[in-house]
Amino acid sequence: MSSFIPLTTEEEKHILSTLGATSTDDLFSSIPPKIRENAKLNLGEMSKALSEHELREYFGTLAAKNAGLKCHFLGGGTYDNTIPAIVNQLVLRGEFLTCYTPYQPEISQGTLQAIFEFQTLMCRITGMEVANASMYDGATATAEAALMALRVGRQPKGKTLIAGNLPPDYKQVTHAYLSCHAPAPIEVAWDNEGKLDRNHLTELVKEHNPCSVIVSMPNYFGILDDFSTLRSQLPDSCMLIVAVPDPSALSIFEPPGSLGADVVVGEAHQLGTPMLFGGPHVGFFATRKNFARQMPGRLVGESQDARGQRAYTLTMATREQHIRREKATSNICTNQGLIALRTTIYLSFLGKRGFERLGVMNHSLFEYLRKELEGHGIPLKFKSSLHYREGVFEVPNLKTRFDALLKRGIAAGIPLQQKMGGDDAFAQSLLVCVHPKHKKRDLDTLIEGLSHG
Amino acid sequence: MADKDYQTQATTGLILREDTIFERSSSGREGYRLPTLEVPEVSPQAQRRTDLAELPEVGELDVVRHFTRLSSWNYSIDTGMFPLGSCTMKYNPRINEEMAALPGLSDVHPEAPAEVSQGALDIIYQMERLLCEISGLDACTTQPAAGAVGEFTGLSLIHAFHKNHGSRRKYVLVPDTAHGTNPASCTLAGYETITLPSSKTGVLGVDTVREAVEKYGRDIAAIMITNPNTLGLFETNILEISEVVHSVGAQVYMDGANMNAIVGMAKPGHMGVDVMHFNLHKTFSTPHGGGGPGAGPVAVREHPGSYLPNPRVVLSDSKYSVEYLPDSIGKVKGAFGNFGMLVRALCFIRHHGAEGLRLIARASVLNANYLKYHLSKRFKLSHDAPSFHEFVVSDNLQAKTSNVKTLQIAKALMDRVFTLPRYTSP
Repeated sequence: MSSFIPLTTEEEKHILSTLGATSTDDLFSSIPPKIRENAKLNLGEMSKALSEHELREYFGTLAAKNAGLKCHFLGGGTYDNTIPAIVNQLVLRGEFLTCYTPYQPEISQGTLQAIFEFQTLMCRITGMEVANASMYDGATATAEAALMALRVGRQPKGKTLIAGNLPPDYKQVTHAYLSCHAPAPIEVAWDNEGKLDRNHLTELVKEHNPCSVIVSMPNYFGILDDFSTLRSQLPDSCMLIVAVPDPSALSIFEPPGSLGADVVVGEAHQLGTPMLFGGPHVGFFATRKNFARQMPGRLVGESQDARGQRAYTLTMATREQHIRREKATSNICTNQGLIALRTTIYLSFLGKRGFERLGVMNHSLFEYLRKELEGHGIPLKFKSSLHYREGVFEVPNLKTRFDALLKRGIAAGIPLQQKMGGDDAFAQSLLVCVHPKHKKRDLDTLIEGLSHG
Repeated sequence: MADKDYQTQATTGLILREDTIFERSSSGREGYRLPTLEVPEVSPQAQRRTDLAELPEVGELDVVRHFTRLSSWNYSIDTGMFPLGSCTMKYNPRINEEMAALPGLSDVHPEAPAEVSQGALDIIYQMERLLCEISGLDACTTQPAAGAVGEFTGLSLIHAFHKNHGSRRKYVLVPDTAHGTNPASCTLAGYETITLPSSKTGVLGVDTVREAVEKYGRDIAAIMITNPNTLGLFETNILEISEVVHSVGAQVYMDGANMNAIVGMAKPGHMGVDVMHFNLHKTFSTPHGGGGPGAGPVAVREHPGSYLPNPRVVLSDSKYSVEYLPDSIGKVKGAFGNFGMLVRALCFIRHHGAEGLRLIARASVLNANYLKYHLSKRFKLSHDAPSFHEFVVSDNLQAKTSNVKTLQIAKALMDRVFTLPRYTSP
């Protein structure tokens, strides 16, 4: 038996004799024989059980195959960061790692209070009034926001406008979530500064009378659009949803809550969670109080226990699938508990000044890179716009230079043409992103590599 | 126990009042130190935030104490038993955590070129292959972030399949014993739910399905069935049910929430199932973490396979790459899904090997039946049928002689387990 299955042969015998059964197979006799007889697993070279040492060797070999990069400038929705030792260690506490969904508040106050703090942090960063216990990621949170707008507008077949400069994953996931039962989202073009094309938006709003408009801040090109007049451009019936793929931008830039957003969604893994090849990450979902009952997902509220002491509990659960079944606001049953906890620990430790510092660092690193690359004849594609930490550069001989850098263990960024559906306008475009681990010499190596060859 | 006694007992021992992290804040206290900035500092002026976000200002020890104290209020697998059925709260091996945190696995960017992420792509590819074998199905996607996304993905595949065969269908049949997520996922996938009553024996009758099929015919897109079901019973009519459902071109979706009870003992592909999802946190030991993250891979028979979410990881000439299916339903989650959970699940599967996986089902069914045998002396069983991983007892016997209801029994169980920490078994 495996060490994770503690049952001994003696115990098995004892249980069988207690039950009056002759073999464990008897307990499976309600499975039709035709199904039972063909159940043998053929796992090929993976049939053999491995010891812990052998598992370390196996995964060590796989990890080594990923270790070809010395430095990277990849962003586009997933961002690298340093992770404090205490984050990794606190989330390994068994009481957090191995506890259940906090349905029973008596035995889950730790998780509930931590989620309550997560929700509070998300409200304070986005400038919104209520945030939920977290979503799977930024892309699914965006899709859920679009669905919420259909509920609020009481138009199950209503229209959704989505900015073309959202990260591609956000657009595609929203498309997949809507496409089975509502019209596919309609894309709003970007203008020649990479920002939301306001004229196109006006036209589309007039034509479609949408339930929501989804915009991005910063957008996929790393641009911070000025949305201070956007809310007034939309009819009251149209919700303004702002997707924030990198909330570290909100440490220094005006948050969507101050700009009249109705829903702010986004991704928070870069605040305490490694990149993990794209997941698990953590999405957030924040809105105004009057929409709280239309929110998807779980919500923790502050309450009092029988002795009048402060206590926390899941609240407004009547929206949720385990009670409302087919009439639920969403089919989501879980949140990203442990990743939301990582975010909470990280942001608590980083603190008010540290959070601002993170934003200033990312901004400064990018500004250095931008200036130097421009000096070497590699301009930003949308140079007059305000950028945060990443941007699209027009690189001559992109493929040659990109490949030469990759040979040296440097991923220079994300070549955009394929990401933008093969658009020729992006043939030489590279999305380059900085992160706080970058040294000056890393940036200089990139600048040198991108300007030669 | 009198109220007063209860209060006295509950206020001693482990109760630790803990303020919120915001209340621990002291203006000016320094927390985490970021790396040194080696380029000139530039502070943006335009669109500048007027007030800083009110994050707490606390030191490292403040943070460690705060969260350590919070953790002590949680009941967890590490502190004691969870007699929960479908949620399958099994031990979360620590080697899984160590492997998922390995540099080279945890720090890979999803946009890294394929030539420098062969190890990560290999893990996805191998997991999909293993889940195909375990399910007896032909193709698999590991992209869905959780069981609920798996359900939505599976139903979207069925939706795409029907649409591409020129068929617009409206209904999904769901037994009344199903988890609430099933009907909620149907709504998200654009279907109406037809609830099917289960029979007195606790399983779905063939006649019930036949009646629905006669009534709704080719408007039925699929049946969504959990097997073993939420009462812990194997759906013994599954082969006939599948046949009836297939007779009108509808698909059989299996919720794999309870795969723990049959892994290695029965394959859904042999039950007539066309599409199913797994919950890696249930069957393959990834931690619940107080509610996520999970992962909900979906396995399918060949015909819905061409609609699987993009991108697909493919192997050719011993090299992994990604490719995009033209008829794909698109993306159901950013990047490649919850990759870190795949690492843990793969670690668990490889620790067990083929025979070990079979032992999981056998041990869980043995244990559940042993508990059932002993509890049936004091509680009324809801159904007198062979049980798999779970069973249901009612408070009928208790109600005859006292006012004790299920809720009180459940709360008393929590008291025994949690407030008396030496008492490790409910």
